[in-house]
Amino acid sequence: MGLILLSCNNDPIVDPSEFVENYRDLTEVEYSPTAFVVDNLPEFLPLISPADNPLTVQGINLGRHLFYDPILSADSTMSCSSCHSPELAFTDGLAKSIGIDGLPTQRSSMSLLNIGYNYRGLFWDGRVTTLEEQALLPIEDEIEFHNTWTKAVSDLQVHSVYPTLFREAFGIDHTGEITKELAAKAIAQFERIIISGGNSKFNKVIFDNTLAFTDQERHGFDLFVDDGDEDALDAECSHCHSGQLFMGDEFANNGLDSTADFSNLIDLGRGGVTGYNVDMGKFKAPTLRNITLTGPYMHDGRFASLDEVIDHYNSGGAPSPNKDQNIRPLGLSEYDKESLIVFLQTLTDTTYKYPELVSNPH
Amino acid sequence: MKNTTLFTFIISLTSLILLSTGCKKEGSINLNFNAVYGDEPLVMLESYPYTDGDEINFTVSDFFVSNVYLTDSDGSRVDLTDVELIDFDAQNVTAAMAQTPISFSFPSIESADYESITFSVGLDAETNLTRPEDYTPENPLSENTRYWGPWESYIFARFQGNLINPDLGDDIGWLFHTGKDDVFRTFTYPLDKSIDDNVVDINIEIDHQELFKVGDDYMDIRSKPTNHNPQDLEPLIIITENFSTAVTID
Repeated sequence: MGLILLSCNNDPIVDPSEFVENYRDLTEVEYSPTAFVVDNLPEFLPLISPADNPLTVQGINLGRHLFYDPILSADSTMSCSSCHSPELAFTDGLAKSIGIDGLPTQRSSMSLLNIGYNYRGLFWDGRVTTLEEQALLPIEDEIEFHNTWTKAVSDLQVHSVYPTLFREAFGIDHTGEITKELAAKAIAQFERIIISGGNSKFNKVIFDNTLAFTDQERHGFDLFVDDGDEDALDAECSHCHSGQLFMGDEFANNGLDSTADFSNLIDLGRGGVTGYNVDMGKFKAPTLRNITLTGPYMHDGRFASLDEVIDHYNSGGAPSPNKDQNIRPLGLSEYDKESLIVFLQTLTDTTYKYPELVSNPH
Repeated sequence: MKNTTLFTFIISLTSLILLSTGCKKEGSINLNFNAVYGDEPLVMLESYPYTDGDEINFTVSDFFVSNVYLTDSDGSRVDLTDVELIDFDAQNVTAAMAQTPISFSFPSIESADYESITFSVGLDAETNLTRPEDYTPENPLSENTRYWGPWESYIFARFQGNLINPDLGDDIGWLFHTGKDDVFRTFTYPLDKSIDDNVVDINIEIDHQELFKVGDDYMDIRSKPTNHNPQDLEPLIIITENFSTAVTID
């Protein structure tokens, strides 16, 4: 009977302020998240957010602040925007990005344009699937931010503004509930609204019917898409760069490096993630939207210009056991190559669907 | 007495009805897809004998099957699935993994003796009118690389690889992508499977050597290594129709 009485007592109330470092109560801050609904571009896949991280005005606002704030790097000198600048379609214009210690990363910074629609592998090697997973990694990468999440979270907890933003976004009761997972969720929400393309000439021609391709742009388009006319030359581009994002859903070896057995490859790409021979030297085919703004090109930025890229594909690339069979000598003339570039320029749209929301708030 | 007899009759009748409905059994079916080349499991990048001294390997083998159903001894049809992607280039990446089939499980299949299985290679005309943006991301029909805009068609099947001749020292990349409604084919294979409160495996083996059969010979890949041409569907139809002989059901 005594045991039962004991078990009926309420547990003593524990005051988190007594054991949570950097404790500050936030319950007086209003928590009333407002759903944010994306008005999708035509022919785009649906924009799907995870069930545990729906888009809200407050979540996007917090993510926007974090994205542009160097507070996440060890010495507070770099932010996500250092390698993903809105002026360069959220890349940085470098062959390989530079981290806070002045060291180069292994690969080129990928564009975050329309990244919310990429459901099949992030990074050049697809090693994570969701934006929430991806946002966790640069902070503790030794070359990139060279920080620890423990320090980053602590800095956020004592900040004059961030506790309020976290409360407004996620309804936390006190600063001790700020976590790296919530920070990553906020950044992911922000990234999901980095949407562009509706004002590209391509969209105006194909979807709006308000403009027409020039003859050369049309020729470049016909080369790009392989229209099935056996008598016409094809550049086979859309085998990998497909859909309205002009992006690959899979990974491919595009013949960048000559290898007989993969043993000499410096960067294994997808194969470094799976370990399978068939994946060695394979990389994601990135979006070609705004490609004129996101050079240099390839996973290691080896090509400074689109001319070099097209020359590479026209050559048929270097031999490799798993080189994609669409990579073969194309026989393109100089006019054909120019036309491809002219067509790619129609994919340029320097505007954003939500320009205020993706700009730097600091 | 009369009321007791009537009561007993009602109880007995009710029990009989309950027993008969409660005895309706169901089982589960596992559809297991395996890729082979002749007698050997198909492994990506492994070389196999082809013709005239050539060796062939595969780097891509994937295709849609659709409208999969069983037919029982009474002629009744049991639908299993609308569309599935059979992706051997994702599965058969090592010799060990090639031993494991691509499987789909279907519970709650009514007990019966099933005499045939039917499925189509590709997508029916109605499905082929849809586009990737009509589907949510987890659906393979949402993959843009499996849709070909200029054809206004999904790519029904993709086979890619290399033809290598050690004597000639050459290495020819080959590629066959099938698609368009004209290439859609439906196949029915005999079956001898009984479902009765059990789990039944239906093993479907696709012999990739047979897929390239042309009469008593094999497709001349060396002369024409690629076909992605809606104006020349003949090679693609040959490959698709070869599913009638390339498939073994166990």
